[in-house]
Amino acid sequence: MFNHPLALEQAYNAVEEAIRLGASYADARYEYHQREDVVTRNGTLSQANVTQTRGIGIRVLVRGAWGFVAASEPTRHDVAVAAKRAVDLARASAVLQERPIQLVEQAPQRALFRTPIKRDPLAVPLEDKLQILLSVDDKLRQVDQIVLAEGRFFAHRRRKIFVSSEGSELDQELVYTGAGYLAGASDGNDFQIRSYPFWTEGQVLGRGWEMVAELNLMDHAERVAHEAVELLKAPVCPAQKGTLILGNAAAAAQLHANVSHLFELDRVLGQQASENGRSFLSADKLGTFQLGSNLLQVVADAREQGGAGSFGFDDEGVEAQRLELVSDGRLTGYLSGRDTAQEVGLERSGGAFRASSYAHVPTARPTNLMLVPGQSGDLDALVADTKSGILIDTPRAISVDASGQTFFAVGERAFEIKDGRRARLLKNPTYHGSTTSFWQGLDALGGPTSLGHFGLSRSKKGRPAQYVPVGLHAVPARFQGVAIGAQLEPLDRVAGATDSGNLPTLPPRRGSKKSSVPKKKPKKGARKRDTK
Amino acid sequence: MRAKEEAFRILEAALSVASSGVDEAEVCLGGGDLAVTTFANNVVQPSQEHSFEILTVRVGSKGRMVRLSTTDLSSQGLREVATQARNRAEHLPERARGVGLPEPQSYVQTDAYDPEAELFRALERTAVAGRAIIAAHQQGLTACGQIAVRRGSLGLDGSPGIYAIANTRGLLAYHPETRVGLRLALRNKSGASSWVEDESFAVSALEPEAMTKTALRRALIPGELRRLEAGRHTAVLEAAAVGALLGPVSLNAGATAYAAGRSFLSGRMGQAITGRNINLHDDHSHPLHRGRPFDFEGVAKKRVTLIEGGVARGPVHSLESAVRTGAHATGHRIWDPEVGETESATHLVMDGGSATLSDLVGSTGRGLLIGRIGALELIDPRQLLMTGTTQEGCFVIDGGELVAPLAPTRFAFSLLELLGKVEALGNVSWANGAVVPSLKVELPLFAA
Repeated sequence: MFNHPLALEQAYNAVEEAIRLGASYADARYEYHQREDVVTRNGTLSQANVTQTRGIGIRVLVRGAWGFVAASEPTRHDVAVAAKRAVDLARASAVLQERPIQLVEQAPQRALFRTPIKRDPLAVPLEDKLQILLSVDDKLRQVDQIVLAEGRFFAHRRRKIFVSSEGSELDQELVYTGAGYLAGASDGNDFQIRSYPFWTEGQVLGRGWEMVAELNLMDHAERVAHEAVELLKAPVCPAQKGTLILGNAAAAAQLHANVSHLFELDRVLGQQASENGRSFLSADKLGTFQLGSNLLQVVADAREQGGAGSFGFDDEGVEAQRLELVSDGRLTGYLSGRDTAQEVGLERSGGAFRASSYAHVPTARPTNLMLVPGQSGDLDALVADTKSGILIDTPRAISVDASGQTFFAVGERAFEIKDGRRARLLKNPTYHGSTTSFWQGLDALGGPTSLGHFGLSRSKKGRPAQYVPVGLHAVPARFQGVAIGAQLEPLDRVAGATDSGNLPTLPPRRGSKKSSVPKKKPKKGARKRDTK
Repeated sequence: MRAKEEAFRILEAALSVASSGVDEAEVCLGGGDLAVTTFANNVVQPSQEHSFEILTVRVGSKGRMVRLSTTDLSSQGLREVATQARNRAEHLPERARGVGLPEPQSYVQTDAYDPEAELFRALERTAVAGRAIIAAHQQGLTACGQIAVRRGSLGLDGSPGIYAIANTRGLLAYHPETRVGLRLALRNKSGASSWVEDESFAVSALEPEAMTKTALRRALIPGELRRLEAGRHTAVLEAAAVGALLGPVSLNAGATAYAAGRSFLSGRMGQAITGRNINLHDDHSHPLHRGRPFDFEGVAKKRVTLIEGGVARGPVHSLESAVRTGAHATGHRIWDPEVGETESATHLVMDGGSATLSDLVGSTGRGLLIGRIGALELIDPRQLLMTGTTQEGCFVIDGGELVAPLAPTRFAFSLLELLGKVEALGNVSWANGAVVPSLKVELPLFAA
C-alpha cells in the first residue's frame, strides 16, 4: 500500500539533505507502482503477474553537474545515504563539466492530478480478465490453420510524489489500461499474423477497465483469424515506387517510430548519442526546417483526457502542455525539459521530461502525439480518390536509423488499389525511404471523423532502458513517390529509391564495372597489422 | 544483491509464508546494484546509481499458478504478497493449469563475481570517461559512451532478472554476478566515427586505455566519408555486429515459437539451414558468458545445439514446454514484460575459427568492415529476415587496410542466407550478449 505521509516526508528529507550537502538544486520522486500483466497463449495461461515496486529517486545539481541515485523501499537512513551519493556523483561529474548546467525558471507547483477512470483495472478480478482472453483465444483457434492465439491484458498504476528545492510539491496518480490479441496462421511454409485493435502489442490508453469493454474484443476475433489465414494465400506485395495510403493505425505507428523521437531536445543536442539517440534535426532548424508537406501538422498534447501520454506534471514538476511540433510542414517545436530548454534559449520547459520510474533519470519523451486531421474524409474516401497505389492498414514493425533520417517499415497486410477500389490482398508489405522525402510526399489526410486513438505502453529509450506510455492519434494519410515492396531487393532495383547525396560512393561487389575506390596494392605485412 | 546466506534466509522466510494454504510455492530474489556514467558531447551526462531488489512469489493451487513481485521484503510485505497470490490462484479457471514446479537440480556452476567491481565507483568511472574525453578533445573529436557496473541480476534492458531461487520441492539455487562494461564512440566533424565495446564479469579484464587507443586510431583514418551503392559487398562483420544480428535468434529458438511454426527451426529439423561452417549453441558455462546456471524457475541450464554443421537442431525448452511435448527441459524459461513467460536461448555461442580480425581485414582486397549495427527489426521470424542499419565503426577496406569511414547504410536480409555464405570465421569474443566470431561474408546492403 502507498503511505502518503511517509512518501512526502522521505521526499522532503532527500531534498533537504542534498541541499545541506551543497546541491544548488534537488528534486525527489517517491513512487509506488502496481502493474498487472496477463497473457494467454493457445488456450493456456502464459502469465498472470502482478508487480509492486516502491522507491525514491533523488536528482541533484552540484557545481553545474547532475547526479542521480535511486533506492527501493528506502528507510530514513537509506534516503540520507542516497542523497549524499547523488551529491558525490554530481561532484565527480562536475570535474568534466565544460559549462555548468542551468535550468529555465519554473514557478513552484503544488497540485494533485489523477487519471480520470470509471473502474480501476487492477481491482477487476483476474478471472474476469481471463474469461475474456480465453474466450477470444477459443474463437481464434476455431479457424483452421490458426496455430497461434495470443491475448494480453495490461494495467499499471503509478502514484508519485514530487518535491523540489524550489518549493514544488506534487501528488499524481496515473493509470493505464491495455488489451489486445493476435492470431498467427501457418500452412507449414509461411507464417502470417493479424492483430486487434492496434498491432501486436495491443492497445493502451490512460483510462480504466471501461476501455476494455469498449474494445469489443470478442466481436472481432473471428474476422481477425480469417484475415490471418487469407494472408497465407495472398501474393507478396510487389516492388514499386508510387502511392501509399496508411490507415490510421499504420499512420500512428509511423508517427511514433519515425517522427516522434526527432523532437526530443536531448537527442537534438547530442546528449543521448551514446545509445543510438540522435536526431538529424538541430536547434537552429527550429522555425525554418521543412520536415514535410504543407499538410503536415503534428501536435504533442499531454493534457488531453484518456491518452497514454497524459499527465498533470512531468517528472521535473513542469505542468503538462500542448506543443505544436510541426505546423504547415515546418518544424515549430521540441519536446524539452528545463536544462535542454535553457540550452537552446527557450523561455520555458515543454514539460516533456519523463522517466520510467523512480529509478530512472527523466529525459525528453513524446506525450500524446497527433497527426492533425485534414479534409479528405475517411479511409474509403482516400482510397476512392486514388487511381493506383497500395494501402497498408496495420503496422507490424518499423526500423529507424540512429538519427531518424531513414526508415524501413513492414505492415501486417496491404491492398492493391486500382481505380479507386481495393483490389488484391497482399502479404508482407514493406515501404522505406528518407524521413523528409516521405513526409514531403504527404498529399492527403483523412478528416476528423477518421481520427484513430491508439497508445503504446512501452516506448523505449536509453540505457538503462526506459519505457514510458505514449499516446498516438492519427488519421489515414496518403503519400506519393514511396518505395514500396522491395523486401529483399536492394534499392538499386527500385527506380529512384537511392539517394547518395554528395558523398563518394562505393559500388557493390557485382553488377558494377567501375569502382570509385582507388586501387592500391596491398602493403607488405598488411595482414599482420593489428586493425583491432 | 544479497550475500548467499542472507539471500537464503530471506527465501526461507518467504517460502514459509507463501506456502501456507497452497499446494506448492516458489520464491526468488532479483535485482542488485547498477552504476552508470554516460558521456556525450565530451561531457558527462547525468550520472546515476540505483539499488533495486525484488522478491517474486509464485504459488500453485490445484495446478494453477500465479506470480506476484514486490520490493517490500518486510514480513508484512511478504504476508501481503503471499495472500494476494493465494487468492488469485484459487480463482483461476481449471484450464489455467500449469505443469508444476521443478525438483531440486544439479547445476554447472560458473564463477562470475568480482569483488573489485564494488570499488569501481563514481570517481573511477569518471576517470575512465575523462581519459577518453580528453584524448578525443586533443584530436578534435567528440566522444560519447558509457561505463556501466552491475552487481546482481539487474539488466540494462530494465529487467530485474533473478539471482536466487527456492521452492517447496527443495530446490535452492544462488548465482552471484558482476558485469563491468565500456562502450565508446569517437566522432569527427565529417560524421565519421569509430566504435569499441567490451564487457566482462571482471574489472581487470576491461582495458579502457587500449580500447580508447583503438577507437582513436580508427576515428583518425583520414579518408573521406563514403556512401555505399546498393548490392552485395564483401564485408568483415566485427563480433559486435554479429552479436547484434543474433539477437532475434534467441526468442525464436524456443519451443513455443517452434511449435507455433514461427521459429527458423520450425519444420526444418535435421535440414541444412545455413552453411556447413556454422555451429550455434546455447551454453551458459562458456568462459566468456559465465551465465546463471538456472532459468527463471530454477531448472538447470543445459548446453543445447541449435545449428550443427549448418543443420537445424534444438529447440530450447522450459519445464512446461518439455512436459507438454515429451522433451527434456533444458533450463531456458524466461520472463519478459514484452513476450511474457516463454523460452529463449539466452547464452548463444557461435563457434569461430583461428583468424584474428586483422587476418580477416588483411585478406580482403576490397570490402567493408562493419562495427556496430542497430535499429534491428525482425520482419519474418521463419527466415530470420531482418532490417537495420550500420552505425559507428564502419570502414571501407582496400588492399587489406581500412582506408575510409563509411556512412550509415540500411540492410534487409535473411540471417539464414547470410550464414549460408560465410567465407571465413574469426576468433570469438563476447559481444551484445553472445559469444561470437567476426565473420567474412557477402553482405547485401541497401543504399543509405
